[in-house]
Amino acid sequence: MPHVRIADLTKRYGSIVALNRVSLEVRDREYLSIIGPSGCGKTTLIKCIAGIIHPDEGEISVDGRNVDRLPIQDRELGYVFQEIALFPHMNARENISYGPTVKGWASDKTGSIVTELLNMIKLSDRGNAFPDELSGGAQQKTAVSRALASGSSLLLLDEPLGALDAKVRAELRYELRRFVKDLHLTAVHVTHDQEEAMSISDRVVVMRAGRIVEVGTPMELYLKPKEIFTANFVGEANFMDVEIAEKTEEGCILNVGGLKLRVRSKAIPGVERVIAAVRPEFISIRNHRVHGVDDWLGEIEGESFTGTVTRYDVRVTNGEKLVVKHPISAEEPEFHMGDKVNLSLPADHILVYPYPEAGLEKETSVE
Amino acid sequence: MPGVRLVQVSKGFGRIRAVDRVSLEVQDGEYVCILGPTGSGKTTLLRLIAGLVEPDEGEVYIGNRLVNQYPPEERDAVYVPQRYALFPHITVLENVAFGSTAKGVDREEAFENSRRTLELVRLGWRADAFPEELSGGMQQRVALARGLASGAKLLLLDEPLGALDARLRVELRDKLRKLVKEQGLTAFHVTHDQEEALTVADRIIVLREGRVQQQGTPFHVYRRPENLFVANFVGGTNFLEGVVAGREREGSYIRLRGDLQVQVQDISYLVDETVVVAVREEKTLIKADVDEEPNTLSGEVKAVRFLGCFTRYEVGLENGDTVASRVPTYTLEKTFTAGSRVKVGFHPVDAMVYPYPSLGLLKEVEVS
Repeated sequence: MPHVRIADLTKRYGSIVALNRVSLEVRDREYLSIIGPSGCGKTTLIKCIAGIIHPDEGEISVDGRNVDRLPIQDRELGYVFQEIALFPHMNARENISYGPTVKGWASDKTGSIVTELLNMIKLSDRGNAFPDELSGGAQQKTAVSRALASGSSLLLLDEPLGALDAKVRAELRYELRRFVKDLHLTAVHVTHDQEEAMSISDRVVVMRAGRIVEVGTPMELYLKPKEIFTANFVGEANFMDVEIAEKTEEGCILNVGGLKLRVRSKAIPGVERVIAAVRPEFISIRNHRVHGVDDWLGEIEGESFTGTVTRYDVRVTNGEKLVVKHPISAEEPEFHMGDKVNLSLPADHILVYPYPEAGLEKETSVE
Repeated sequence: MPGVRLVQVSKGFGRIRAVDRVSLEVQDGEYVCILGPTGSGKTTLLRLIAGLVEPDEGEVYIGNRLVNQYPPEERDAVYVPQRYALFPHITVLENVAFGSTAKGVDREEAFENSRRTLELVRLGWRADAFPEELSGGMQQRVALARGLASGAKLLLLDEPLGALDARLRVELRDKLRKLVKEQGLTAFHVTHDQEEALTVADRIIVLREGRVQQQGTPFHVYRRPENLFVANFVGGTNFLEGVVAGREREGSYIRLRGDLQVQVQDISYLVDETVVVAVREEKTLIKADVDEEPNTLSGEVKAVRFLGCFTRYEVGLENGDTVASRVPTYTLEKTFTAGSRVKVGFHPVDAMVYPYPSLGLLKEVEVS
């Protein structure tokens, strides 16, 4: 039942603050991912949980027990690195049984655990293979099994799929989640790949410059991000710098360079200048008007096919340039360069944020 | 002008044929992505063009000139390796300008141009830093800028965005393409990321075990994969094994396991032939109720994964097969949960049909 509580964790390297008073709870049996641009502190955080790095301030407890002074080998956790770190001179079976053997477990007990784990990762026929005879994906699954063999129920995954090809990575991520759920583990997974985090996690932590920006379910972060940084980081968004023109009962009307935009979001008291954000796939694109809908007119300036979606750059009559993604479900892409199109932006899916003090570009920067 | 032509080029290392009789012809100004899994020969192919590896057989032409005998520096090409090597004792800006100043370009002009290129990879603010002060991703961007600023007309980029965060990679890939187009360069861009290739390339060359599997525009490669490997490697695809049960003018009928039957438009297979029907996940529709459309199969939702723009459902069919359906998140009026009884289906026109591979389906589509 690993329930991890992190309170006010701070870690400095010289003048750089890698973690700045970070507090976070990881619930029992939860699959939690941490994302953020490089240098945001996500790796430092997971290494603090593992006991590889010691924080300057703050504390970490697991199931109510303070683990600050516990060395890594006594923390009862499994840790998997990006760099696949199997012992090259041992076969898969020997690699997986390494922990239990070191701990002096009875060999029949170890043997049956290893067999079960090999079954789970669908490598039961490759137990005698050496790491260099296994594919990258198979090696990393072996590494995960090794991390689990000693019976730890807290699994720390530090970019576990980072060294693999995109295609293999996308397949393996679902398997990882399945292991964690089937074995009732608690997992903390650090990744630089937002889609990976979104697709397998119960909750996702977004970090930036040593702090937690926001924590939420994948859907919350994608559909209703509280922070403008999150809106940009977990998926593409169009941002428009606009003024509130009118407050209405169900939300407000924004003035976007002379065009009206109805949004469901409540006006923020005392704020006139706001950023309106909308995901490219929520904008509908048509070649005709629809009665009763506030249409914007625009012209297609760019188009690119990306497989599951076609992306259009559309220049709207007010000068605004919007990216529109047209997911391909059953129909073919319908528009081409120079086409005049009608856009409508759904009131429900427009996010409104106060104009950031630092300016939009700084606020959303992924550096 | 740097068009590139390869004629039956092979290169082996010991017993492994890293590049196996590859022929291709790339026009001046084209942006080409070489796509394939680890070990498919992508890097070797790039190094053959760069002149860093000598072919065992075949001819390499750059701009109509046979360059087999030319050293790398006389090929008007710049190779940016995946493992970038920056000079540690000079600044970022000096690193970027190095190629031009070494060639004797006026120092001021070289620095001005390098500064612009650094802005482009969003590192103008680090121009005076030394490489070791930068993160790995930043160093890779410096190496890329150095390649771009070198003045070479042919860019050979090995995983140029590989060390970057996913979000930054998406931003930079568009910029990279734009720059290549604006400056009229020809680019080869090696990647294992199919989405990256689909987005930036004029043409994609899919490699596997040293051999070209297919080449064509992104649209062509995605919509008309020539074999099962490409169908699997590029995009998310469902595969259903079956036997041709009947052929008519408007299409064929395929009998799947469990006596299920589907209709496809393809009529190029004979009755009783064993085939694989491939359908893209986003062309696999999911519905709550029965409808009149052909190819409606019953099943149960096994898993639901939210991907952002799309939501992905894994559905177990009654015959034991599993298919995935990718639905644009915003079109979902009703969402399904694990355990929901659903119908999945596809239009006959969206089914791609392949002969059943002699080595078996799994082996044929295997990535690693």
